[in-house]
Amino acid sequence: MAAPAGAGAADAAARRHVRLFRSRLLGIAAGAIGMAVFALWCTTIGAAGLGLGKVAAIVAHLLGAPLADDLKPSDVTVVSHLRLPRIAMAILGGAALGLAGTVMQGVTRNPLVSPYTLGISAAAAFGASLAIILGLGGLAIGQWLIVGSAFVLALLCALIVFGAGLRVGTSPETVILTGIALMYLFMAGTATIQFLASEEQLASVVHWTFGSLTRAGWPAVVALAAVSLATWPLLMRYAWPLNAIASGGDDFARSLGIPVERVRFVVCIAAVLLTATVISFTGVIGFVGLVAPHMARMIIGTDHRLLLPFSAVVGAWLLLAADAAGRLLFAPTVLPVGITVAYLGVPVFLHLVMRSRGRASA
Amino acid sequence: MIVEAKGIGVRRGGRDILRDVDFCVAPGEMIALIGPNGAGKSTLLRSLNGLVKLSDGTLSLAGTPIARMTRRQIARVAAYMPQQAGDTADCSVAECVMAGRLPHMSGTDGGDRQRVFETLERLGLLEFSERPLSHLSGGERQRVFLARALVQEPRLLLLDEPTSALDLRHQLDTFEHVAVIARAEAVAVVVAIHDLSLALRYADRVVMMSGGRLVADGAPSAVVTPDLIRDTYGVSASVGRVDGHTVVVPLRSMGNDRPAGE
Amino acid sequence: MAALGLSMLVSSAWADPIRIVDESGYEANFDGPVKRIVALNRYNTEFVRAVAGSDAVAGLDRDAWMDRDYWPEIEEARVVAANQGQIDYESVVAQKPDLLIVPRNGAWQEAREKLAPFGIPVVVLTGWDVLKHEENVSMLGLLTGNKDRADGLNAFFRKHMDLLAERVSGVEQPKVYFEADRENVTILKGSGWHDMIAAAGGRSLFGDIDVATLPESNRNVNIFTVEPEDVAAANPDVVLRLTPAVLAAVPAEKAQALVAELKARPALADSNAVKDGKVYLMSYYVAGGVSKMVGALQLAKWLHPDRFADVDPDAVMREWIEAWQGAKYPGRHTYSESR
Repeated sequence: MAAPAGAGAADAAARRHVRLFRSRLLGIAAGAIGMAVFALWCTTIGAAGLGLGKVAAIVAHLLGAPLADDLKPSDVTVVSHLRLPRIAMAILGGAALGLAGTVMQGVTRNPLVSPYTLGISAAAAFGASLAIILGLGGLAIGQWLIVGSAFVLALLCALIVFGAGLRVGTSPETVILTGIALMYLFMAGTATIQFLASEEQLASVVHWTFGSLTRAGWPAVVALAAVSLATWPLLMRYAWPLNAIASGGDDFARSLGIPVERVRFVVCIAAVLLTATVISFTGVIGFVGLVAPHMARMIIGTDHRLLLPFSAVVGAWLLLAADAAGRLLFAPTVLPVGITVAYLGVPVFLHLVMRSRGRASA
Repeated sequence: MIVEAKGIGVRRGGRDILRDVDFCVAPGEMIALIGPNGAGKSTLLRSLNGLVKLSDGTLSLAGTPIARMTRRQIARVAAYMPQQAGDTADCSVAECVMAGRLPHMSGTDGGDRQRVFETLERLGLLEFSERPLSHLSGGERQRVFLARALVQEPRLLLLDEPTSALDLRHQLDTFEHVAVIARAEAVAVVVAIHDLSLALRYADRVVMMSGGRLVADGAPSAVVTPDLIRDTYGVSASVGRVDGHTVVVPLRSMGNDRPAGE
Repeated sequence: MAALGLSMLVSSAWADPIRIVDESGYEANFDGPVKRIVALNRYNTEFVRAVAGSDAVAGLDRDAWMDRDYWPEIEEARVVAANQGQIDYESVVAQKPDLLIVPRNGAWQEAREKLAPFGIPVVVLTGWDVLKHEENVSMLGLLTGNKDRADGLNAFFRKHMDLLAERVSGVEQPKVYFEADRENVTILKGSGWHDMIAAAGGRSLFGDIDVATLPESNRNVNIFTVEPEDVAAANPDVVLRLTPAVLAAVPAEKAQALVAELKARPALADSNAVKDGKVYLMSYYVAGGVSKMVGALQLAKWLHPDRFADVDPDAVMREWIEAWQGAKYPGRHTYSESR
């Protein structure tokens, strides 16, 4: 296509740019709506035999309407205590993990970075195992102690990674290398605990490590919603700095007036908080933080103003789909979401890797 | 004067990377920074927009001491094109160039968008505006980075070896663009460069560096002489005229008794 | 006569409330006998069926259910969990149970939290813990209102255990090399199998090892990997090898092949066991039956045939499977060359 000459050419190109941006915005909206519809469908999955109509009636009842004749109180509890919190957790958790992965990849300029490579997931697993082997799980507030322990260890890991970065310089390489080293350390720690554990503790530890949405109840959903509310607007404000850092590098971004170290620090803390909150309640769920950003990038482009919300949408989709698959494929056996998301995620990821390598030789 | 530097020095780990440099640049002037590897060209360039902190001396940009300017204020005056510019980037051309508007961005991007696309048109990049950078050739990519620097509306353009990886034609094209802009918009340009013939051809002034110090500062013909080349580069060269242009032809490297850059 | 009938009527109409405290210290109260129990982990399910019958099993896990020969009367709809750690709560609720029982290495904390809003109590009962056998069975009897049957099961257990204890006292204990279902994997002191061998009047070959002196990688008392040379050096008098835990008996040819393979092993070829033809196979079902009581009986008969001539372990197994479990006894689960 020959370059159009003439006074209107720049305007035409500008308008085309705006149209493209708007169509992508629409894409995000469509994705979000589609996800909501899918989530609605997911509310019907379960042994209690409650279809969409009944679920809707139950939700109406929860909002104040009288209970319909063909519904039992246990049906209401099934929806309000088993199904809805699980789906809310899938949406919020998937979105949080997708978002965390995207900002980490942007700020380290490395497409293979995810919450795992900062060692956070491994640290959370270690924290939970520690609480279990110390016998805290048996106490009345045992479950909260396990969650708390996982969260604290995840934060501790992040602090170490950034502490090391502050001394040596928060270059992408430092962050990643320290994170991977810590990941191995915490994995070894968890394995040691598994050796020393009694059979019941071992069963508990292993059970926790399989990421599962079943455990999460409404308190978990509320906690995650609070953390998300605190972090998402912050991350959106950094969309342009992320664009500059991801596309031009640290020096260039600095030359534009961006406080690169501060951006990296804040973004990583936010990402760590999001990830730690999710994993503390659900156990280890991998791949969403790694694959959701790539899928989002392939569809919506690299502009973080679009990429950030869309990776949240993609993450939510992934986790909802993984949960649904885990429940439907081997019914009535429920495969934990931490397992199915890997089965769904790996082929997608491999496909992406092949594709990008094919394009790389330009 | 856009740049006024007096006695500036940069020390790292006990070593003087830059020492006692006096340097000024007027609007519209194109200055070529030449010298062997490790002479301090990049460091000087990067200290001019505050990327590298000064250990000694004073530096003013457009009359204001740099120490009193915020990063954003500096960014509105000086635009920087680093040597290795975003080789892993997969963003579209328009998006990439739009990042250059950051120092000026106010929220509504109507005005920013107009500037970006006008600049893209000027550099012949409109047809690529939505293509990812990885789909462009090296020369086209360089033009994108130049566009990105230009939308910053700088009064000072700092280019760190912008043509090292380009073929002959794109080397010429890049300098033609830059020269036109410098003249038309009175933008001061400081270019670190290896190709001495290009320096001779386009620069208004040439500054030769060696070992962190300024060795010479003046008209190209006065600075790019066989004697200075031999002293600084350790290379015996011939400077002559071809088709109305002055060119430098390296003849022979001088060997161990004249170590380069010292 | 009428007064007696009337008082029985009155007492059955007003069933006494039942209160139990489980292993985790959790107190559960029921207005009357429990009719529907979801029992996770095969040992739990077996005990519920033994004490209260199949109909009381409102739900079980897939790992147990997969042995179709053993649970033919239980349809797939009653599968509510993959295993004791992965429970599908909606399925549990759909079965409308009065109670869920889980062993202590199952996901009981999670289950308690998830089922609390439905008013379904979760009781921790570890059927596989042989030391708690009589206590567990009694608790189940109390819960289901089948105290008599529970007492009967405990008596069945006690009678045979007492018989064993009485007849093996003072006897010379042959050395028994116990192999689980994998080559070179045996057990140590602390394992229930070790106790079974002791109850049968034998001595477990590696029973003297102090677990604390072992490397951390090989400390599990139920799964201890041993060097073939150590087995050879210890020179067992008897080899006891377990076969898979399914109700169907191992076909004769396979059993013979397995015994031949055991005898041919370099570590065992020169042992007393092989020379005397004392290589025995026993299925997990027999070995584990009624908290390993049946296994102990069978082993005792092999170790001390003169003292147990009048004891028929097969009959005891048959009674367990048929009278208590209501399943069909498929025939011998054991194999010995001398048969």
